[in-house]
Order: sequence, then structure tokens, then C-alpha cells
Amino acid sequence: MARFVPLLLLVSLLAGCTTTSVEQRAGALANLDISGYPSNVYVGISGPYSTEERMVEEAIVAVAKSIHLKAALALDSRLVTASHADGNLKSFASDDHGYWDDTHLGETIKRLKIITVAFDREAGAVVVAEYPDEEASRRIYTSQYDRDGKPTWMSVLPQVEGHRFAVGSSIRYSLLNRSLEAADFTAAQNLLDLKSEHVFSIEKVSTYNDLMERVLYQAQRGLLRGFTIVDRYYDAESKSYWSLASCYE
Amino acid sequence: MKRWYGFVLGVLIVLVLAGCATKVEKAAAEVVQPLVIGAEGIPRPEWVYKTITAQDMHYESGYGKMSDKQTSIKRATVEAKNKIAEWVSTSVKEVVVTYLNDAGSGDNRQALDAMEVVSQQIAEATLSGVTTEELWVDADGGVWVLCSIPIANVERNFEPAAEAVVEAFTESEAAAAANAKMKDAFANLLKGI
Repeated sequence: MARFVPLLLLVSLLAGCTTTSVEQRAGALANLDISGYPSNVYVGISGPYSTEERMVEEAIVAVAKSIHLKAALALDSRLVTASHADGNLKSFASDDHGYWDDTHLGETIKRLKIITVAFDREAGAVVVAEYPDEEASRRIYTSQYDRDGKPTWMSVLPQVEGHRFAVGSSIRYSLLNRSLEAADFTAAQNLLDLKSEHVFSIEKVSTYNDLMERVLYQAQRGLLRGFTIVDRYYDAESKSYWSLASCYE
Repeated sequence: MKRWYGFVLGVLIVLVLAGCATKVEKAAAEVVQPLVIGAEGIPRPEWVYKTITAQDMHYESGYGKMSDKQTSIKRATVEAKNKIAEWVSTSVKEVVVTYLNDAGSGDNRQALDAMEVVSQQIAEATLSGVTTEELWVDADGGVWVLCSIPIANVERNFEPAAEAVVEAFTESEAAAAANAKMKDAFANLLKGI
């Protein structure tokens, strides 16, 4: 019996290291999971409105918006930071904007094939729809989860040929769609940080009250193609939403 | 007895000569960096403490420690990109000053002022295609990022600006030759030759 003890120990140790692909999402986010569908299927949520009809309408618009964002998302980021020579940071502020083409949104909506419509207390209407103009292919990444139920992409970014990944997070706002949009936008900003087409960086060093002051202004912009939210996670511990986004390399 | 004296004399000569000999220092042993494990269990990568060089890419690292990881990454990336901008600006200034000296405009204050503006413009226009290659979080939660820029991108942007410099300051035949030299010098400087 004693000779099995080391073997058992080894097995239990190895079991502790494994990641699992068992579904860990719960609540409203579980309704948004479209990982089982091909890549030309999108999900949109409305947030709460007074009528169900209005919620479905808004959710369909959100689906079409995701399709347009995937086609092209232009990002512009400006940041200013000032610090003193003694190492103290005086300010650190950024101003970020995203631009996408919302013309022909109606055309896109006309082409959509609605798969499911559901209602959720937090999400409002949840619409899953197929966009037949796009080729139906396998999704580029399937999330895996660690022992605590957290997706592994929160600590290590996925590596998929031809794609770039970034993670964004947001505090919990009163409306779910606002929280998700904020997390998605942060992920988009982080994608811009990974690859910027143009960077403008100006640094000014001056003396103020006998103390050297350094002010750095930086602006960057880039165009993301293939921008998609791959997965989402709600961390109950920190009460924050997390988004994994990808774009073409 | 004579043999003995001869031997002692021989030893003395050898000792004296040995004292004059230059000592071949043993090559300084490479400093072994201690293994440092970061907050996410990842060992500290080499680029955190060592400059990475390559023929076709220029690398810079940046560090940031803010209230959360996301902002730390942002700050570290800003610092790395600013270092790249400084590197391009310095390289351009160095080459353009040499060019102006060669072209005989070195004492021209107006030319030097204009050069300052032109070189700044080049540096601003040149930062295209900056990529964040790697990221490492240290044990204190500080974030290190490694950013890169293809040297070809910098050279490509330098071409039209170099023409502008020549157009503005062409005064002698030597300028044409110096212009070619400037382009070569710039390409070599970027490659670290």
C-alpha cells in the first residue's frame, strides 16, 4: 500500500496543474456565450428599456454594430503625463476615442438572420444572429479555465497565428451593457498599445520651483481590422468585467 | 660553483623579466544575473536589464508602476515609445549636423535652426509601426514592456525629409556628395555600425 502513496501524491499534484475547459460563466454572461456557433454569428444586448420590442430593436442594432466594428475600428489615443525629478508623478491622464463606420447599418440589419431572442434581467434583450455575408468558420480561440474558475487568458494571452489579443477590464456600472462596452473599449485601447500605426511623442523638461519637471505628451492612432470580443468574464471578487478582444495581426 | 652562480643569475634574470612582463588579465567573467521571479511566476527576461540589438529592429523597454496593472502597462508602453522617439530624434540630429558641416553650412545659424525643426519633424513622422513585443510583471507589481520598431520604417520616413534638407541648404557641389553620405550615415547609424 505504501508504495502507492508517492504515485497518488504525484497524480494529485499533476491534477492541480491542469486547466479545464468546463464552462464557468454564470448569470447574464452565460446568455451571451456564442462560442458554440461559427464565427459569423454575433450577439447583441440592449440593456433595459420600457418595452420588449424596443429592447429587441436595440439588441439587433448592437449585433450590426459588432459586425461594423469587426470591419474597421479606428482608434485615437492621447496621453499626458507629468512627473517631478524626485520621482513623484504629478499627473497621468488619457483621452481615447474610437471611430467606426455606421453608414449602411440598416443594410447590415436587413441581411441578418435571427437565431434566438431571449430576455435577461440585467442584459435586457439578448439577440443571437447570423451574418450570411461572412463565411462561417471555426472560432479562433476557445477559453480554458483554471482551478479557481478564472479564464486562463486573464493571466496569459492566447497565441494564435495571424491574430493579436488584448484584455480589457471595467468596474461594474449600473447597466450591464455599459460595463461590457467599457471593458471592450479598454481591450481595444490595449490592442492599439500593442501595435500603433503612428506615434507622436513629445517630451518637455523644465525647472519649476527649483525642481525639474518632465512633461510627456503622446498621441497614437491605429486602425484595427477584425476586432472581435472573443470572451468575457465577471470577477465577483473585484466586481469587475473583463473582455478578451482580438484583431488581425 | 661557477655553474651554481650561472643558475642563480639565470633565475634572477627570469624573475626580473617576469616582473616586466605584462600580465594577461583573465577575461572578466560574465556577470551572472540572479534568477528573479515575477509576480506571475515568470522569470525576469533578459531584455529587462540588457539592451537588445538587432540589424533590422530597434528595441526599447519601459517601466510603469501605477495603481492597477492596466495603467501600469499603459505607462510602461508610453515610456518605451518615448525612448524610441528620443532615439530616432538623436540619430537624425547627429546625421543632419554632420551633413551640414560637410556641405559647408555648419556656421550658418539659420541653417542650424531650420535643421532643428526638420530633424524634429523627421522624428515625429518616423514613429510608425511600433509594436509591443513582450511584457513582464515584477514581484512588486511593476510592469516592464519591450517595444520595437522596424528600422526600415524609420529609413522610409527619412527619405523625403532628407530631400527637404538638401533642397533647403544646397549651396555647393559638395552638398550633393554630402547628401549621399548623409543617407549612408543614417542607415549605418540606425543599424549600429
